[in-house]
Amino acid sequence: MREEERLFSVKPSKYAVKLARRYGYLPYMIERYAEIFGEELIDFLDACEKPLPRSIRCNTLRISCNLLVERLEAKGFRLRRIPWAPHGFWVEGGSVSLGATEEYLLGYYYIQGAASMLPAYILDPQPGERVLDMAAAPGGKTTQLAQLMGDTGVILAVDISRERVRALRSHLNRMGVTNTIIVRTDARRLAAMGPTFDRVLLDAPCTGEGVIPLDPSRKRSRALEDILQMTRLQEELLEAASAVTKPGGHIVYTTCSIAPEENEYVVSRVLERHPELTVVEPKVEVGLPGITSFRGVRFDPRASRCRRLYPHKHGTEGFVICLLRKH
Amino acid sequence: MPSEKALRFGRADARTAGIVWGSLERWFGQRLVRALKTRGEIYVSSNRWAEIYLVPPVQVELVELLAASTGLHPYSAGLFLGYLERGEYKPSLPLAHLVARYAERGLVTVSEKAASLFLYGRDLFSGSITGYRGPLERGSLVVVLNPRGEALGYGVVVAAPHEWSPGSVVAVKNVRDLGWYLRRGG
Repeated sequence: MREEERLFSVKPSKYAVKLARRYGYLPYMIERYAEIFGEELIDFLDACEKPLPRSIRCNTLRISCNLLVERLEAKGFRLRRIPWAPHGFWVEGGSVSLGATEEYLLGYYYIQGAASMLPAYILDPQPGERVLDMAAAPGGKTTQLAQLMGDTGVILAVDISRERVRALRSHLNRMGVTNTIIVRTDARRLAAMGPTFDRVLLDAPCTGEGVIPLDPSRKRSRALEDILQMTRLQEELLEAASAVTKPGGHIVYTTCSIAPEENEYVVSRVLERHPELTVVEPKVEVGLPGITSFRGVRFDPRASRCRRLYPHKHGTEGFVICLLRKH
Repeated sequence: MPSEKALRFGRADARTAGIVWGSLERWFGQRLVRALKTRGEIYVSSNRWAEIYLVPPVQVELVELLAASTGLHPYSAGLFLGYLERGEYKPSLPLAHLVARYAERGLVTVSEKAASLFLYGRDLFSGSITGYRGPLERGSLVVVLNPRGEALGYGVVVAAPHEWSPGSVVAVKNVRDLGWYLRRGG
């Protein structure tokens, strides 16, 4: 049987059907989760039933993190540092919405999932560099990249959606980011630019299988065929990312899906065609290793250097992050 | 938003640049204009609107490469300075932060309570104004600051200081405040 057929033809067991009914999922999902999580399957499913803790990233382009903490605590919020995110805080309490404080309007922080802060830290953009953000809206990671670059150099932030580009610009304006060019287009078109960028962030469009705690409708909204279609787009986007990265440059490929098909499989297929690319270990102390075989399909062993985050293990949305280097 | 095909992004002509720099100097003084000019050149993104951006040279290079290799033009770049409406320049919210830092005039500081109300789109009463920089004349544009000196948005003076007493009158009408980011997302 071909790899693709093995990955995308799932026959759920009776146990998977039973659990799917109990937790409200489509059975094919549970069947796959059983292989990913093994004995931790129920822990994972239970964690997806609970809301995730709120988190913010302080914007050091506008305020010091200590001062922000002081101001928000004076308003009744309780903040706790996220160990792996130098500018990240878990937030509890508070009598007003986090998205409506004076500090929010002044651009002092961005409301951002804890796991979604990691890709920018892993990409590690430097001041003065040229960076491409290929699916940028609504701008959480773009504004974080700008912050890490001290608002110097240049970021090309691309998104295809008209409405989302508008939100992206609003967040850049609010947070005082000026080093960014926004283009509304299909990021695959940028391959024509050639090797132009020092670093590329591809937070790829995905089926969102990692954000079920935030969007329970995802338990039933996507068929396996949707995942297959998505992997094709993801591969093409990663191909384009490779084309525009300078030799010696880095790419972060990430999704908010825990599906191995959308992550390690996509990366493995692109590695097959691009010997100039490799996966490197990110310098972070969080996350589990990437998956190297799934449903009888072996992925590139270097995919183990990707990082996986899960709600039941890390208290975050599900996320997979792979750091690639181009020789 | 302008459509991708029709969108054009190019260096501002001398007349447009003159309107922008002239307006900023008139409202806030020369120091702000000098500070902005060191950061880049004025570009205009035009279709239905003429949006004004201050674009540094490092971004201009990439804008040109983008256009040459893909035919694409940016939706925005650099610092959003505002837009032109019937030939008149309207400054942007992100610019207000720099105005607060560099302006020699056109700044009004208000009490904590008035600052909160201003963020909900309310006007300012004379009794809530705790200080101002430069002469305030009817019709002049000002940036409104909270007690910590943080820029909250723009207002227009509707009553000059000599008209403020006795009692409290509406002194500054709200033009645009940071609450816009929640109300309209722009």
